[in-house]
Amino acid sequence: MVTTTPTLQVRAVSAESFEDIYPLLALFNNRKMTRDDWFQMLFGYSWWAGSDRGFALYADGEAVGFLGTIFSERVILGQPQTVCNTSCWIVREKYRTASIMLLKPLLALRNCTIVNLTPTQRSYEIFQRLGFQELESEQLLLLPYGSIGSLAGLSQRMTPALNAQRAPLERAISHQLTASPNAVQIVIEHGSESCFIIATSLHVKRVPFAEIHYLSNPDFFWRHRLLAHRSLFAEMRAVGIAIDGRFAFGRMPKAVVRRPALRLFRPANQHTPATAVDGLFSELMTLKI
Amino acid sequence: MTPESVVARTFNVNPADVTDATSPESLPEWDSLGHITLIIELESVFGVSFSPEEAVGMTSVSSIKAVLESRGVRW
Repeated sequence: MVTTTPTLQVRAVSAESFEDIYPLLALFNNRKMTRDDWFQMLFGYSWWAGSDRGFALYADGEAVGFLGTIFSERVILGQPQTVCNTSCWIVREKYRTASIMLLKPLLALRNCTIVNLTPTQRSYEIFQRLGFQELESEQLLLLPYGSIGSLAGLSQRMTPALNAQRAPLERAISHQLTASPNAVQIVIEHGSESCFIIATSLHVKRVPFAEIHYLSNPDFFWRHRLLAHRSLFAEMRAVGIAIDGRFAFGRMPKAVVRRPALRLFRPANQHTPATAVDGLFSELMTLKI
Repeated sequence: MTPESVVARTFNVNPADVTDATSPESLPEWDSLGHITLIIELESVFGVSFSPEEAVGMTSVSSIKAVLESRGVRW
C-alpha cells in the first residue's frame, strides 16, 4: 500500500471560504449556534473593511484547520489601533500536529493588538509561551444590589436620535454594531451624567445574565449599578450582570459571584493596560454558549 | 542542547528516558497541544522555522533529528 503525504498550505481566507470552513466549525458541536450564527460571527460582520477573516490550513485543497481573526479598528489610549480578536482555533485530528502553522501568520501581525478571550487551559499556556499577557482571570456575576438612591435615573435603548447626542467615538461604535442582532445598546442616565452600555445575553447554569462588553462611563455604572440592573432586566430579562473583573477598577462590589475567565492579549503597545481592551467586536458579540 | 533534551524539557521528563524512539505513543504528555509547544521550543533553540509538512512529520525524536539535519542544524 502506498501512502502519500498531502500538500499542506496555510492561507488567509475571506467570506468566500465559508463553505470550506463550516464543516470545521460544526465540529464544535455547539447546538446553540446556527450556520448563520457562525457566518455572522466570523465572516459576515461589517465593521471591518478588509476581507481577511482568518487563516485556514488546507490539505490537498481541503480545509482541515481554521483560526478566526475578527479585526476591528479601535481607539486605545486615544490612538487608533487595529485589534484582532482570535476565535475558533480548530484542526482536524489527523492534522493536529500542524496546529502551530495557523498561529504563525497571526503572530506575524505587527502594529496590531491580538486578543484571545476564550482560550482553553492548554491553549492559554501555549499563548503565554508565545508572549501573550494575562488580560483577565475572572468574571464577576453581579446580582441586583445597591441603595434605592442608585436606582434614580432613566434608561433608554439606543436610538438614532439618542445616538446623535453621544460623543463621536460612541456614535461610531453604536453604528458599527447596529447590524449585530445580539448586541443590546442602552443608555442609563441621571442628572447630567450617563453611561452607554453594550451587552449580550449570557446564560450561566441556565440563569440569564447580561454580559457587558462596553461601558462608556464605568464610574457612573458602578454608582448606579441598580439602575443598570433594572434597565438590562427590562431589555433582556437578565437577572444579573456579568462583567470582567478588570472593569471593577479595583472596586470590591457586593452581591457578586466570581468565576474563572481566562483571557489573554498581546498589545501592540506595551503600555496598553488590560482595562483598555474590552469585549466589543469579538466572538463574544455573537457566540452562544 | 540536543533534540532529546528539548523534548525532555518540554514534557518535563527525565532526559535519560528520551531516545530516538520516543514518540507521542510512548509519551502521554506529547499530545497535539504538547506538540505545538515542542515545535515552538525546537524553533527557538535551533533557530529554524518549520514548514507545515515538517511539523506534521515530526512525530518521534528520530524524525525531529532528520528534519533538523536536513536543515543543516548540528547539535
